[in-house]
Amino acid sequence: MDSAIPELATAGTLPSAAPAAASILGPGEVQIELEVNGERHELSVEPRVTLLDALRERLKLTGTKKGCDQGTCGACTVLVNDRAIDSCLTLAVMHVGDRITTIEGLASGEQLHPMQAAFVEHDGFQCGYCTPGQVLSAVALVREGRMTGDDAIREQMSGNICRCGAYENILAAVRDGARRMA
Amino acid sequence: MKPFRYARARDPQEAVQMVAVDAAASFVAGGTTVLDLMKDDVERPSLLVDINGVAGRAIVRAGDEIAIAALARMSDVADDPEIAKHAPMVANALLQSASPQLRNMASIGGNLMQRTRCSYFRDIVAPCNKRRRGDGCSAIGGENRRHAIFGGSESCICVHASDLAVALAAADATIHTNGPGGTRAIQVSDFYLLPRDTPNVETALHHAELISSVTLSLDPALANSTYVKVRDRAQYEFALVSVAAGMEIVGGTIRAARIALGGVAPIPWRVPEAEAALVGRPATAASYREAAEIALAGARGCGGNDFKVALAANAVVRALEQIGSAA
Amino acid sequence: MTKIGTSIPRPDAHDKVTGAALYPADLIREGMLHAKAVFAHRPSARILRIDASTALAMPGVRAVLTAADVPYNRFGLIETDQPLLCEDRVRFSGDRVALVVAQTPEAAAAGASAVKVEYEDLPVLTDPRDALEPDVPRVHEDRSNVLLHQKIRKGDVDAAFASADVVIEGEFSTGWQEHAYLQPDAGIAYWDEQERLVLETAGQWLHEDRRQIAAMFEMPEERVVIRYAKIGGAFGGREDLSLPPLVALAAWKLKVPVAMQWSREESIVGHHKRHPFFITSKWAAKRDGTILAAQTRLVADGGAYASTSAEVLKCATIFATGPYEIANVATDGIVCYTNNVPSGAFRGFGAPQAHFAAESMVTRLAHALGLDPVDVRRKNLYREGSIESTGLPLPAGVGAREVFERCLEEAREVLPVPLHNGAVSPLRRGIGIACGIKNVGYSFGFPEQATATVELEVTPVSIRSANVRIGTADVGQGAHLVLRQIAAEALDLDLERVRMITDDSSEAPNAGSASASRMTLMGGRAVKDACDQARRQWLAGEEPSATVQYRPPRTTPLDLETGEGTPNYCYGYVAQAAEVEVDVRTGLVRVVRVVSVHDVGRAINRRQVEGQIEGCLAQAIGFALTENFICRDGKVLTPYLSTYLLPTALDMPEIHPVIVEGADPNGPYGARGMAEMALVPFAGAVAAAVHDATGAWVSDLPMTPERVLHAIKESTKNRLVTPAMSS
Repeated sequence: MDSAIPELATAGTLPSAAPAAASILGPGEVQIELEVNGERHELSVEPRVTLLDALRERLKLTGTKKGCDQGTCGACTVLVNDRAIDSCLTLAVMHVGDRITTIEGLASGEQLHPMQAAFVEHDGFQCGYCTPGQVLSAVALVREGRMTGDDAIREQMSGNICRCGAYENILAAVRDGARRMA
Repeated sequence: MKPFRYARARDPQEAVQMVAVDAAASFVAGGTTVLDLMKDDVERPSLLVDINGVAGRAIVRAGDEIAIAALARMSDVADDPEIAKHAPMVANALLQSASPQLRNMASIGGNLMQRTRCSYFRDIVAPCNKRRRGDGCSAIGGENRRHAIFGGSESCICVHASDLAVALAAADATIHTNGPGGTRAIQVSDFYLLPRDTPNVETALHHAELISSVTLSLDPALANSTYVKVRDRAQYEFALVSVAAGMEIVGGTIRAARIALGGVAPIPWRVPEAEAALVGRPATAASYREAAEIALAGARGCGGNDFKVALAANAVVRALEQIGSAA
Repeated sequence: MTKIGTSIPRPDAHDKVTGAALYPADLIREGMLHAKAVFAHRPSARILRIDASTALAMPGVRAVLTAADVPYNRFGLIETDQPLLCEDRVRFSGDRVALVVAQTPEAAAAGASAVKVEYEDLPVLTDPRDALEPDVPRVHEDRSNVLLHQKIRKGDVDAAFASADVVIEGEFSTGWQEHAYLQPDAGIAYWDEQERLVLETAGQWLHEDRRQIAAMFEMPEERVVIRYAKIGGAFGGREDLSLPPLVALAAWKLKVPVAMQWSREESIVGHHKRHPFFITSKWAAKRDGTILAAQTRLVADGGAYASTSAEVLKCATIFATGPYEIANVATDGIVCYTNNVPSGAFRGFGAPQAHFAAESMVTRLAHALGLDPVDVRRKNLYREGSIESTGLPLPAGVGAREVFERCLEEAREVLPVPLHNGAVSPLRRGIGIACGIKNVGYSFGFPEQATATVELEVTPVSIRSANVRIGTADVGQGAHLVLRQIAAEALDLDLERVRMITDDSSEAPNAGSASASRMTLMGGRAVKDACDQARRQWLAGEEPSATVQYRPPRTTPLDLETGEGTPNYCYGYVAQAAEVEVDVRTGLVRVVRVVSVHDVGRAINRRQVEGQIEGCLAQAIGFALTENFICRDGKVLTPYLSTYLLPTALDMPEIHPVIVEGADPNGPYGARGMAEMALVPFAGAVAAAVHDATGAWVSDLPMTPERVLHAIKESTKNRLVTPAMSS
């Protein structure tokens, strides 16, 4: 282990309410509570665990994908307080008290979210690995009112790489999904 | 990532104190820079102090000044109507940076503290003076297509990564900080340091000094401004070269000019001689070309990046034309 | 016919939009061990000592495996020249020297960085052109650096050059291309209750993965099971084994379930790339536009291991003359070992590189003759019965002319007359056209077959449902749906009544790889024939199930000295028109519109066919413009997606995919493969369009801003040996 790390707190709890004094947590596991898809989850993570890894490995929400782990592909896109972010470049411990939405939280039961339905309808994918991220970015751009035309869609979707190159169908899906969401 | 400790500071003083007592501690806001570098093992902080709760994210116009909270996200600033109206080069620089997701995450303070994208800097087995002084620079004599044509030294020829910093340099923005020694205000021109023989020292910030806000003084040359970015793909990519430019044009004559270049130097590269050359001249293509040539007069390539000299000159012309015709 | 030609949605669409689809990394479970490879990170060295003692003493580390742990430490698709873990020699920076197995990924990573390896660095060979010199270091001590030198000799090029009205020369280069399938390599491996070694991963050929892995562990093939999870893209990049045998080794050795994932960097450094080529060309023509001769030398960088280099090289060699019938041909294709990252299969398989040169040369010839490049193409394009440069007639179903004429028609509709904008605007528009040919299926005598089993559930009067067993990888191209549509059509069943069993080497027979644009034709034909036979047996009152192996017309190896032979049994044909906008101040090229016309034989699923055209064009844009893979002194300097730039939605042009259906004589319902074709002529079309816009020829790929600016500044490299005719 890194000898530069002094023996201070090795474990702790990060409550969602503000503490009386800022406590130093880690490097060992920290108890946190995350609100994901409307459900509260208690989990134990080291501070170094990214939100992406916490979702995939602790909460078993594997719909969020790891494509680069460096914010360069968008496969790990989730919504945090309704804004699209790359979950690979943020720490799980930083999201106590946030509302997190992953691809698993979009549909209502068997009823697909309108954007998901539009992606199915327009074949907005090939291999499907980038799809959860694409769908969430699309939902965010519609909710934020950025649907001002095809160029705006392309711009807002430019942080989601599709290596299969299904961009044409993704564009059609986003256009249609926006109509369905209206 | 190596293990580290984590704390959420509640106010700036607490954040500063927590970092001050630990030489290996860092602040974290958006996390997009520091976590990226930690994954590559380039940075190994012992403690990350989360500053997201220490202050607000407001963008406030007061008279001829706009104050941007350091914790405002890039997308907040890019979307702000006052910024778009009074400092379009700032909004344009942000909109041409990163991706929508990253702009939602990255803070303005963090953006200014970005580190170079030099591939040797990010490869811990390659020698790099910025990572460890004295190891040598792999880019000199190596792959240097993306490297500096201005301001490099024998120890480092990297280029600064931030687009925003280039716009802020052209805008003469002021960076306000909160540190162990109290608060201070630093001009962008004094904020970034040339590598010389200490490329590991990149800014005027002291350890534990925290950026609290950035202020812009509004003027006509900032209101009539743009940001031109040339890069290898349409979006989601760092600049090969970029230009932040603003001009005040009255009756066809240039009254004031602001020009800074990005992607060409280890720091945002202001070109005062070119600005001076424009003042008093007619707003014409010939004036722009002449200013571009002056701007690039001292540029020197190191092999792979020789093309940047002409490219940057053309980008200056492009930027001036855009605001020349808009005026 | 109701199931054929219709755009039925993918059966896995729901799972893909809800996140329920499970890719290899999603299969990792609690309690599995985690493996991490120790990469050499140096291009050429002798391994003096590996000291694992520190790593083994670390918390959570369970084992450190080395070459000595691999019973047969060799693998490869064509030649087995690659070690799973290096013994005494490192040949490229992505070579693996040890494998650390630990309780958590973090412990495995910490362990891997604690493995101490002592190296003696050796001279590095990084340019395949140097590899031909006599006194350069050998990448493999026991053999020449020349992996293959394939010649084609047809007619007499020297005589043709002497008699030609015009002779031109050109030099071209193309770069590496990284597949960058978005799902990085991952897998799990374990022993099952039947004492079989099971590997669940992503790949392109279940049975070949099984064959190579069984050989490595000296096990009978039946005791190795390969299962494919959902596959997050492949594009040729999963044709070679990369991560899968490593995780298999750990599970095989330790007898416990093991998981492994590569980071993006490990994937980029660790698996093969598209071959870079250096091409020199000399072409001659008569004043009427007849191409008289083509002399081409192609030198390809094969990297450290053989991979599929020999086959890629042979394909590039036969496509050095594009889809044109030329009387006098002399081609030298050479692929060399170097200490660079290995090169291998990537969508197009040598054809895009060869066509970039060939299509550029045809347009330049036309210009030199003062003729329209359209007319020169029309005069020389392959037709039914044309003789290939390898000496024998093309397989039946030559669509070259049909796609070309259709492309011209569509282009007239879609593309405006280019606006050169005079000298005022720095944004210049131009249009370029190019044609292409690419084999469907394996070439050069490589054993080609696909096997399918169809089991019918029947009543005395009807077929109720069918199980179709065919071991095929659906890498996103939609192979499973196409095969299902073919089965439903053949049996006249609703799609829902056809059950596909495709992803398990122990449950489905070998249909070959999902590569070479072959699965619709080969797999589809095997499925159709098996359906037909099962149905006949049912009607005859026999057992209503059948296993059928389809074998296409045979091909032969090429004579090394002359190239004579039958290289292929089927070709796909494509023609493209591209409109570009060149910013002459920045050198940036934007592709505005593309018309891409394809002879697909028969479109089984029209929307999927169009999707393949569009997707292939996205990769073609990367190949031509944005994807600048840098490997310098044997070190990969673009190991991240922040430095290796894949096209985004904003880089995409308006695409007009056009499907031409000239039935293939062997394909099911006339279908043939098409998924690689759009990459083949594209860079040539863009080069011609850039020339149309600026008057400059860019001869090196990718067309970076500095290359475009340089080309605009300098005159073309292409020079006239004899002056253009005077008339």
